[in-house]
Amino acid sequence: MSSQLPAVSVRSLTRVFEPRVRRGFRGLLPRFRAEPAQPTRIVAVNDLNLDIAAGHCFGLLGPNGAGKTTTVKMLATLLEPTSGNAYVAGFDVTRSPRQVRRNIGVLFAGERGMYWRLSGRENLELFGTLSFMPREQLADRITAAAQQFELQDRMDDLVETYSTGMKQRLNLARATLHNPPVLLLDEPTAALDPVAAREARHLIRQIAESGTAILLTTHNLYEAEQICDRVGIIQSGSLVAEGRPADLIRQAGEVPRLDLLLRGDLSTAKATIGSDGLWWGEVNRDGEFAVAVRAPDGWRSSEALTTTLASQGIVVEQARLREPDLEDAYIAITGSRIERPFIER
Amino acid sequence: MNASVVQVRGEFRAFLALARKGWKVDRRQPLFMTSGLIGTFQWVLPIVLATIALAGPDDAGLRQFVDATGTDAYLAYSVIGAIAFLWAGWMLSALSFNLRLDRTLGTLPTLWTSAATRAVLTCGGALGRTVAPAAMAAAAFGIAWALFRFPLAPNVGPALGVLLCGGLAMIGLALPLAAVTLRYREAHYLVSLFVVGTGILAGIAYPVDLLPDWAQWLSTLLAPTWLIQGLRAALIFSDIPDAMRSCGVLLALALVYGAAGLVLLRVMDSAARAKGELEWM
Repeated sequence: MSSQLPAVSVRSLTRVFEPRVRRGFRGLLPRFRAEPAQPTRIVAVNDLNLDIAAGHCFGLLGPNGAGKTTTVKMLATLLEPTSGNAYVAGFDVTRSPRQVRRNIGVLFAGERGMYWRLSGRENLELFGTLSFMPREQLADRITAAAQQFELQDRMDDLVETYSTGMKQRLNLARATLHNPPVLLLDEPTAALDPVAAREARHLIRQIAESGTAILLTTHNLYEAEQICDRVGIIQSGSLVAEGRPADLIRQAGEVPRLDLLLRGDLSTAKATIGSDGLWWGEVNRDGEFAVAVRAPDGWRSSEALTTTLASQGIVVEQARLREPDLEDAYIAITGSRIERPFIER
Repeated sequence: MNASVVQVRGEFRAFLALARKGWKVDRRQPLFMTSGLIGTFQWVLPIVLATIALAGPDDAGLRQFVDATGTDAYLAYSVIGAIAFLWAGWMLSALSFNLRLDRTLGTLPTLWTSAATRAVLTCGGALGRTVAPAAMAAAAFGIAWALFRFPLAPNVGPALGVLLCGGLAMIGLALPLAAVTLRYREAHYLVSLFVVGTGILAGIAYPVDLLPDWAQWLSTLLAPTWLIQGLRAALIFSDIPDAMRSCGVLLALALVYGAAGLVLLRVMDSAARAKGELEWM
């Protein structure tokens, strides 16, 4: 693979699931279930284009069913594209799937993917051998991986005794054991607690910095902003935005937001703020209510607004200015109605 | 080292690693091992008792059996038939259901994105899962012999040769079944029917000659028939040429079914990738 070429290159990749009806072996047997297994035609991925350079982490963001996992499956050679091309480590996923598999590490969502009745070490030995790692290198790599992923004290315990976070760290160790040039991670921090998720993010960033190209799918926009060099937002199978997180935020035209916790008459407050500035509002307990207000001029907007509110008899209990982030950009780009939680109390 | 030699060595090590994994996973389930041993003997016992009852208290009912089989060693005949088929059935089931098991465990996508070939992935883990049943079958045979003390010809070498060729033939026969279960998630129900059907046609406790002509013809295409016939030839009739003939047929079946299985595995894998069937459950 030339160093000039991207480690992952996707061009016009499309995957369509055609409608199908379940029939016992093509109608040879009685139809016990004539109901359609998949009644409608689904375009899971539509004309997808992306490049990932070595040492970069690309985050694929999108709601459930957007086509993220389908994309990972196609790149991992588990699923044939309907049309388009995808090259992983310089190999075509359709024409050279075996060469692709020799150059990837894959982690699918959920904690399955390893044998729970084997120890961590036995799992790594097995999957390292399946990646054709030389025996003499394998033991050293397992020792190094155990240290890197902080599993050295539990490597000889059965995986079924591991916590969810440990299983996921072991899964990451398994996927990276043979030092693949390309790593495909499908929601790697799903189901992890905040501490374990932070550890996993740190490890993924480390792996990218060691020169591995990473495609990561996630719902967690904070995570994408923290560890991805570039992100793409996929919606209904199509990439609707792509770029560095900071560029996407700028492109989305998002402005700073002022979160206010107020006490007083809600309708007066709403009228004072005006419908153009009011983002959303909700009544909290004890007569307090929370509003989010557009603040294009930052704290200057805030001071002017709080002074006006006070003059109308509205007490400002708390005020916090928040710069727009990837989540705001995501909501703006996808047109999602999901709103962010208000001031943490 | 030549790249193709490295590849072959890698595949061989992967095969052995998967086989070791299958055995380790099985032996870490003590109830599976215990119930397997008891279950093997439970399967043999009714067949043996039925043959004892048919022979009668003074073996008066044996005449017809001797005419049909050419031997009066009815206990050895039925025990060898029953245990050999059980082992063959386990081999077929373990090999053909192994991918289904990996799908259920969630390990199929992980295995299927590794560098090893599909044939190695299909056979390696499955073969490891046949070690425990082989040990159980051997133990059940020992228990049956200790209880009933039926006479056996001391042709251990030819018998082991038949078992080895039978094992290879079972792998060959199971490959097409494994390929079908990879593509069709519910195909394992039909595989069960097939495995039991091979037992009926293999002549577990009766000679195949008693079956209708079409069934006899079908039975010649199935490896369990020749496995049982070869073992009986070695251990009851001391007919070594017949045992060797069974070995030859078993090897030929291993080649034919194995080659067909590899082609079918490729076709079914491609179809499963096209349809998106290679996933957890």
